[in-house]
Amino acid sequence: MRAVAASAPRSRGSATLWLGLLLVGLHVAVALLTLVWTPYDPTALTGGRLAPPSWEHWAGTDRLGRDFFTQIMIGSRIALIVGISAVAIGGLIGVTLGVLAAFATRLLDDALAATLDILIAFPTLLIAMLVVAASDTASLGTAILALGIALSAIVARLTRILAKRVLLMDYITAARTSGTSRIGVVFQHVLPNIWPTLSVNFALQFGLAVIAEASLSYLGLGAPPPNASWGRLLQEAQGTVYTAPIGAIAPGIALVSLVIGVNLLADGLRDIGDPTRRASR
Amino acid sequence: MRRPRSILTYLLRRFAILLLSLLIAAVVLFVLLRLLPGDPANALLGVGATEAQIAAARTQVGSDQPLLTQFVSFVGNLARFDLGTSFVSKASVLGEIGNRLSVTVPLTILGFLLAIAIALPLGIIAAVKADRWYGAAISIVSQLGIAIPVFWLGILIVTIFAINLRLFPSGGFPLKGWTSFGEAAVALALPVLTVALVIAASLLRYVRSATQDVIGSDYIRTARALGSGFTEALLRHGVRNGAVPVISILGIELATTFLGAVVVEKVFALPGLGSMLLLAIQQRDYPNVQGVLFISTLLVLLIGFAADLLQRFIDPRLRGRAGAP
Amino acid sequence: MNLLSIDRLNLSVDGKPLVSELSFSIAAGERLGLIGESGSGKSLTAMAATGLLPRAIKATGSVTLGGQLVIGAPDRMLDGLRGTVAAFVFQEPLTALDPLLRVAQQVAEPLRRRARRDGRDLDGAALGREVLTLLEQVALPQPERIARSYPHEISGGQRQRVAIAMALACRPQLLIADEPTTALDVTTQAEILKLLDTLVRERSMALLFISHDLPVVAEIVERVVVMQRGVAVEAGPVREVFGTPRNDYTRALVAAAKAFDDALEGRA
Repeated sequence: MRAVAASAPRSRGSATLWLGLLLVGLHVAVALLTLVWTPYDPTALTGGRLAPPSWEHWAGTDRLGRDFFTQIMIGSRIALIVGISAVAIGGLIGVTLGVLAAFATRLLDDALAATLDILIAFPTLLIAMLVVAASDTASLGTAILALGIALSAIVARLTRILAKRVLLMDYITAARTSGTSRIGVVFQHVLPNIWPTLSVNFALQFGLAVIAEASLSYLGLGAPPPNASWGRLLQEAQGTVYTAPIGAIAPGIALVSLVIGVNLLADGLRDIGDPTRRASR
Repeated sequence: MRRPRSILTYLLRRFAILLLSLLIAAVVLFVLLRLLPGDPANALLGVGATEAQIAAARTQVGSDQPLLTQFVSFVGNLARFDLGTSFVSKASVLGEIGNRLSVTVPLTILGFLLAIAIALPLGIIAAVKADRWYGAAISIVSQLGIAIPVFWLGILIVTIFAINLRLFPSGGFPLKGWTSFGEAAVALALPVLTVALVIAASLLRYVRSATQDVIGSDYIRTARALGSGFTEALLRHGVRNGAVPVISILGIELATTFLGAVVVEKVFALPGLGSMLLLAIQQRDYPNVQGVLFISTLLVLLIGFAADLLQRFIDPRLRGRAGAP
Repeated sequence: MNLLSIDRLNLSVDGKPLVSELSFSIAAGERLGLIGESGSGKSLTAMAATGLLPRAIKATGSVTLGGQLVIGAPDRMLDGLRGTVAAFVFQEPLTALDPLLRVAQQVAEPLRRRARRDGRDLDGAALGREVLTLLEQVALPQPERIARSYPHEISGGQRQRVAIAMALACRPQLLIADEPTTALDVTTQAEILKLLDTLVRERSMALLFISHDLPVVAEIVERVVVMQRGVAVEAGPVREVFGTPRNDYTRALVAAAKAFDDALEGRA
């Protein structure tokens, strides 16, 4: 029975992975391309204001006459930078805190766990808003740092649970009694064991970070112009949605395709790492 | 065999945990507010204040006291629900929060109920009819749904319903609030729809997976093997068992929606708690920031408490244990 | 007429065979054992007999239960056969019972259904009395207390007795017991086995007993079918099959059981 359940939806699992890779790969390719070439200079006024889509301007122009498609392409680059950096920061802080909690005394661990539980109840966006508020200037760096800090609570909570599970295993006790130091245990046993689960989670966090950054920018708390964040593009386009609806649609499609891409990638990776899950989805 | 504890012991324990969580939240809040740049006194006065004015302002907000003293009075004030007055409008923070809640609470609750009405049947269909095209379609649409940011969905909904179909206003809320009831209800229609669709997409996935677990469970197999029809078995055993995990998700979703209202309120220009927080952050109006966060935390903890209690009511296995947070 | 007859049954998933060309039948009041190691297809065969196979598994051949064809039959018709003609007792009583309902509610469900099928109403106090009677018949101590309990509040053996009571509530002509003692400790195993034996004889029910445990099967059935990797390798009366096994696999099973018995006696 077990073998039956695992083998049946295999094709679907890999299709998920490939579609995810395709979408993410597309965004990475576009982001790299913008480093050397864009259809127009993103700041140049190249056409009429709020022009509809045409052969010259695939997604029309914005209210100043800049090419909208160029800005959406640069948006890919910004989204990827934000996603990767925020997950890196969140991962570093979160994994460190989580491992420390797993090793800490009962009391300290309980306090940390309770704090994390409360922080988890707050959406990533809200925590990021507060961190942005705590900094003096709005910049891309501030937004990334804010999102990284906000994500770290989620990562710390997961790491703590995973690490505790590993620490209970017999071979850890064996390693400890044979004289391996705590740091040695962390790097030789704990991290390699929890990495597969963590990496899948990081992919999901990436999607969260991209959405949260767009929301921050939409609220006016994100990276200031000229950073063409999709969230800011959408916020500007909302005001002109009567005359140029394309501006309120195109950046959203770009954003959703990236987020779906990483979510599918995470699903696909999880299926590879844990074949038994395939049956249950 | 576990000895079942009385409901009273459980409630007392759970209440103690609630208080402890609030205290921890107060510490986090206190630290966070001290981390905010500059002295609150500066924010109170604005640019160009004299040294003497700043010193006077410091005494007024208490930032010249030692940290411990500040913390004790901070917690004391919270305990008495004394949230102070706004730096900007000089109005009572608690009063302002009350006004704002009259928008955010109906928005959250109506959106939440509509989301349940959408997600429950669709999630069950997606699990039961997974091999039909419509079951698979529901799953794919929900995958799409969780990737869509709230504000973009809001913009799309405005574009369709307010601009193209001209059915509802695109934003705003009557100045008189709920005294002009019809106008207020119409103003909330699109925001409620937006909130509902966003929660429904993620809720649906949990309902689907809970239903899948139930369908594959041994007790459903037992019921079927003894002659129960599929639908009958699902109603008699599935609904109850599936509800246990879904309820804790419902609690988290409700809290997240409440706290995440800031985005929807911005899209639709609603004077809710979220837009109060956004404005307070932009104006560095610390008493307002602090007040909104404290009340939000309290509500989030109460929602968690309620979800816990409901789960315990349904699942006898939880009654043996003490309520963990 | 046979209660259950299985003729050239084939089960497969994605073209991979799970059970091949299996045939056997059970007449009214007859007791048959299906023996084989886990994964040999015994449990799947039992599910196929009542039309409860997972959708991914493809079945061909013919299965007749209570005179009705099972493979390809609509669910509505099969629902009527299940319970009335055949009822199940499963291996793991903790998960087989609904964790959120009291024992009385779970036993009442098949009781009420059987009464409805017989054209009478069973409710309230009468239903409560019948539940208690059933709990007494499966030799549960303090039936009133057990009736009020949730499954997690009683022991494994008691849970299996409740599961048996639920199957009895259907008053089936054929009882299918799928490894009913495997999840229990040795003492409880013997008690449950004795209980099943008594109940089946008293009510002259037919029994399909599925197990990987040869001595257990030998104790309770008249005929056995030995299965290995989805194929019936030997079949016949218990005494014959286990006394003079002709197949290698059966011989190995018998030898293993004998060695175990000898070891037990040697120690005693």
